[in-house]
Amino acid sequence: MIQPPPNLTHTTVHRRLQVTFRAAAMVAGSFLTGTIALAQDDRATSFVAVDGPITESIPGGPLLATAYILVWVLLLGLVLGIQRSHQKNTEKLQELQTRIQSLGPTARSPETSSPETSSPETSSPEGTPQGENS
Amino acid sequence: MLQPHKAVAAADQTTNPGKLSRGIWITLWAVTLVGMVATLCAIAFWAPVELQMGIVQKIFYVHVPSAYAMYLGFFVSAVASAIYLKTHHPRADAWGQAGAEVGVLFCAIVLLTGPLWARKAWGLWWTWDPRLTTTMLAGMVFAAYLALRSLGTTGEVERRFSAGIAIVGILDIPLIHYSVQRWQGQHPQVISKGGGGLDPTMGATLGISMATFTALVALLLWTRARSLAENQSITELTWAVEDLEHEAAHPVQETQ
Repeated sequence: MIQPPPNLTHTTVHRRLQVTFRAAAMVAGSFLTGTIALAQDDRATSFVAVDGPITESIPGGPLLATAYILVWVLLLGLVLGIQRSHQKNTEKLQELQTRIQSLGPTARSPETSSPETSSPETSSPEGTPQGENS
Repeated sequence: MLQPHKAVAAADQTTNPGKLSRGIWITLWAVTLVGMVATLCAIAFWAPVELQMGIVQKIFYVHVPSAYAMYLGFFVSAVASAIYLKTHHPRADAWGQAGAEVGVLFCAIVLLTGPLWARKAWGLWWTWDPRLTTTMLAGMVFAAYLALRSLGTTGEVERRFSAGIAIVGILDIPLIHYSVQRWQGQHPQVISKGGGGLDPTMGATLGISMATFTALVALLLWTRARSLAENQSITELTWAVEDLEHEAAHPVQETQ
């Protein structure tokens, strides 16, 4: 086990930690106060329409174009994602339809299926899919 | 396990919406399309250029409605998640996931368009302003929801856990909204309490954009929730068909 140096008592360690925490709190406090003070001066409180020719130091056109392109690209991404998901669902449904048809009349409905084929032992309470309650 | 004929009926109901549902969807789609064209025309040709910031201020007309759309998405996700935890209805879970997806999409738009505006207005891309930080936090919480749902097969535990994440995530929304008033920061305070207001034409353009984004969010939420509900019904139907195939393959075991 590592022993602390003989001159480093518990009281000394505690005092040093206290000093460190106080210093950190003072730095953080002054930083926060300074940031808030600066931010208060910079805050925009109104938007006013320009009257006359438009003069700008940093061209805003490319920034504006990039913003609108990003909006459209992201929206299109979600729409394409939904469309892909729908397409997959349609394919799965077609596959299941084929599988159900190959099983014969038992899979369609209780009216069309014979009483012998629908076994209550293999069915749990309605609406609870397999593995859901595990 | 779901009974086969009920699974078939449920899948059929989900994949074939009624006439009223289809009519509302088409109307919403048309309103969104017309609104999009009107919004873009208003932004490009009607709204004036701002005095201090110049043309880049026009980002405001998609940035603010996107933030509002993000709130709507996250709110729907949290409410649907609470309903799911109470009722365990799969539709509620589908709406919860749809809300999270739409909310995260608009959060990404907010977090990308904001820095593009800030570069011109503040001279920097990003600052740890309270509103920016809390918005990023909300995005990360709901991104965690989506990450959990994309980790393979979703069971009951994952659904409940993600519902919990959505409910915790919604607690950040009031922080985003009131952070500007409570903790100051650099984010503009133009239309909310204490702001100096907008030029009337700018206000009208923002109103058109907000209405369009409301229709867009409703359309995206509805379409995505329906797609997810379809997916759930198909999964249940697959299980039912597998069970029937098993019965057909092992008829002797069933009679014994």
